[in-house]
Amino acid sequence: MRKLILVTLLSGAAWFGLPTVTYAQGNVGCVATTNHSAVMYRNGYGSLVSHTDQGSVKDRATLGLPSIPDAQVTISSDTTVCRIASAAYDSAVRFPAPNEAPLVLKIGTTQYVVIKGIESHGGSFNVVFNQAFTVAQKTIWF
Amino acid sequence: MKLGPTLRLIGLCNALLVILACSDHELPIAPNPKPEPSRPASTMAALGTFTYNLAAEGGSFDTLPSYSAYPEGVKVTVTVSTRINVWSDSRADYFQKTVDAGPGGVWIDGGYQQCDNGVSINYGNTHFGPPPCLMATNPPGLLPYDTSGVWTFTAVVYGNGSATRTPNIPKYAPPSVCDTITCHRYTGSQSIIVAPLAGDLDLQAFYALEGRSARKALFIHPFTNTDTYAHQTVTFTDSTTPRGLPVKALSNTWTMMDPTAPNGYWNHTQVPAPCLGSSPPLACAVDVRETGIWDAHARVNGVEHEDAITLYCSESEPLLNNDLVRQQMMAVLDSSDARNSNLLARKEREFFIVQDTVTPGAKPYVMVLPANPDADECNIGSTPVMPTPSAVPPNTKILAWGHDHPFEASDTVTAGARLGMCRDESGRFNPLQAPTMLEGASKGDRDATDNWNNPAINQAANAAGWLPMPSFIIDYHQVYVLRPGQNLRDEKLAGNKISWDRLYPNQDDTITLPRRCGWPKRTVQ
Repeated sequence: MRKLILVTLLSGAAWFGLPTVTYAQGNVGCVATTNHSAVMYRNGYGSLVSHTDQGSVKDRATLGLPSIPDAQVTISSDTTVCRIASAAYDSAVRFPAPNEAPLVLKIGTTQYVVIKGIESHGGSFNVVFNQAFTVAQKTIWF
Repeated sequence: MKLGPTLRLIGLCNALLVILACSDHELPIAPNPKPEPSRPASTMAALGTFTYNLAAEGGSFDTLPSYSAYPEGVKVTVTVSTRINVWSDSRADYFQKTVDAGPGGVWIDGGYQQCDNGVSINYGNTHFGPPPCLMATNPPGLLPYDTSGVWTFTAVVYGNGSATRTPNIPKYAPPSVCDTITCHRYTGSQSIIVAPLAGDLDLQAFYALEGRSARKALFIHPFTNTDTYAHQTVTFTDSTTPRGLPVKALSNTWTMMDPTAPNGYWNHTQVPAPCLGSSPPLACAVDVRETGIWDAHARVNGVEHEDAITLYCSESEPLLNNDLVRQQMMAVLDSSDARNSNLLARKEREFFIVQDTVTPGAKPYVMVLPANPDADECNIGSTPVMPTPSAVPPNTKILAWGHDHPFEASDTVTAGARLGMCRDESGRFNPLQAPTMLEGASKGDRDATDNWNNPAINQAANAAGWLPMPSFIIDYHQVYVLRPGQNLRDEKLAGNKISWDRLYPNQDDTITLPRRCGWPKRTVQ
C-alpha cells in the first residue's frame, strides 16, 4: 500500500493545474501523537467530522470531509506516510520546510489532513489530501 | 517569521505578480482607521443670557428677551442687582431719607402702604415682583426701604418680557411742598440679567414587561414566536436634565435593525402615527417587534437636542449585554478594515473588555489594541498582547479579551467558500494558496485562550484574581465565545456562537424570530 502511494505520488498529477514543484525531504518523521497541538488539531477535526449541528454539516460540505465518528480521526505515526505527506504538503503550499515534521491526520479511510507550523500563533495552512497524497483537495486556514 | 515592511512589500509584489501587475505605489499594508460609532453627544446647552440696566426713575421700562417662539415656555433665572440711590429733601411729604435701595425700592407709609421705585418683571400675563421693600432689622424694627443688593427668582416664562419700575414717591395732594422744591432725586440703575437654564434631552425607555426604565440602551427579551415576546411594549419619553425644564418633542424616528427581516405574522414594529409626526407627544408607547434605534429630537428650554436609545435583545453571554461592548466590538471590524475588498489591507485586531474598578456603576467597554505590524486577515500578528494588569490603565480590570476575524466565514456565503489571504510559514502571502477560511476559532486562537488562562503562564492576571476569563472572536456575522476549559470548535456550539447581525443565526435556534435580534450599529451623526 505504501509503495502504491509513493508510486502514485511520484507519477505526479499536476495539482491545481499548475506545474508540480517537488522539494527534497529530510528524514522528518512525524509529530508525536502526544504533542499538545497535535491532539488539539485531532480533536478539532474529530469534532468537525462528527458533530451534527448544521454549522459542522456545512463545514464538512465546504471542505469535502466525510461524516464519520470522532474516533476515526487519528494522528499518523507512520514515518513513511509522514515523509510522503511532508513532500506533498510542501508542494501544495509551495514552501519547502523539508526538515519540519508534519502533523498527519488520517480522516477515516479516504483522506489525510497535513499541517505544518502547528505551533503558529493564529492558524496554519491545513491541506486536505486524498488517500494517495496525489490530490490536494482543499487548503484550509485553521 | 516576521518580515520588515520593505521585504514584506517585495514578497507581496512577487506573490501577486502572477495575477496582477505590481504598481510603483505602496500597497496598503495598514488599515484605514475609521471613526468609531458614537451616540449623539449628551450636551447641556442654553439659550443666550441677556443683561439690561433699568434706570432708577419711576416708570422706567425695558424690553426683555421674548420667548414667544417657544410656546412650551423657557425656564429662566432673573437676577436684579445693585442699588439705586434715592435722595430726599428733609421736607419731602412721605419719605425723607436718602438711601441706596435694592430692587424692592422704598416703602411709602401713610395712606399708600406700598413700595415705590421697585422693579417688576413681566412675561405674558405673569408678573413677578416687586420684591418686599420693608426690611426687618435686629433688634426688631423696620427699615423703610429694600436694603438687599440682589433679587433673584427662577420661573418658567412665556411670551414677551419686560421690566418696569413702579412709580416715584408720591406727594401730597396740592398744596404740597414738593410742588415748589425738588423732593427726591433718583440716580443710578439696576442690572437685570435674564439667564435661561442649561438643559439636555434625557430620553428614557420604559420596558413594560419588566417594569424598568433605561437610558441610551435597553436590553429586552429576545423576540420569540409567542404572544408575550413576539412584540413588546416600550414607552419612550422625552424627559429633561435637569428635571422640570420645558420640553417640546419635535420628531422621532425608529430605525429598525433589519428592514428586510421577514414580516411574518407579527409584522414589524408598530409606531403610533402621531409619534412620527411633526408635533409628536412627549411619550410614545411603541409596539416593538425587532431591535433598532429610537431617535428623538426635542426642544429643551428653547434649545434643540437629540438623544437616542438603542434597543437590543439580551444574549446568553452576560458580558455582551452592554451597549458599549457591542458597539465597540462591531467597531473593531471597522478598525480592521474588514470590508476592504483588498484582502491584504485587512488586519486582525486584538481587544480587551475592561472595566473601571473604582468608579461606582462603571460599565465594561472595549479597549482596542494597535494593529501588529505583521497582522493580516488571518493573524493577529506575531506579538499578541497577553491580558495582564500591566496592559491596561491602573484601577482597570480585564474581564475578557478577544480579536476579530475580518473575513466572511465559509458557511455564511451562499456562493461558496471564501478564500483568505494568509501568510505562510515564510511570512509570504501566496495568492496561489489562498486558503478556505473556517469560521470560528483556529487552533492558535484556542491555544491562546488556554495559555492565557493558565496560571503558570499568565501569573500576573492570576495574582490579580482575573482568571479564568473568556475570549471572544467577532467576524462579519458572528461572535464566538471561547470559554476556559472547552475545546477547539466548541465555540461553534449553541450558547457560544451568537449571530450578532442575525443573518446567520445558530441553526439550532428554532425559537427566536428570524433576524429580529440583530445588534443595531450606530453611525457617526
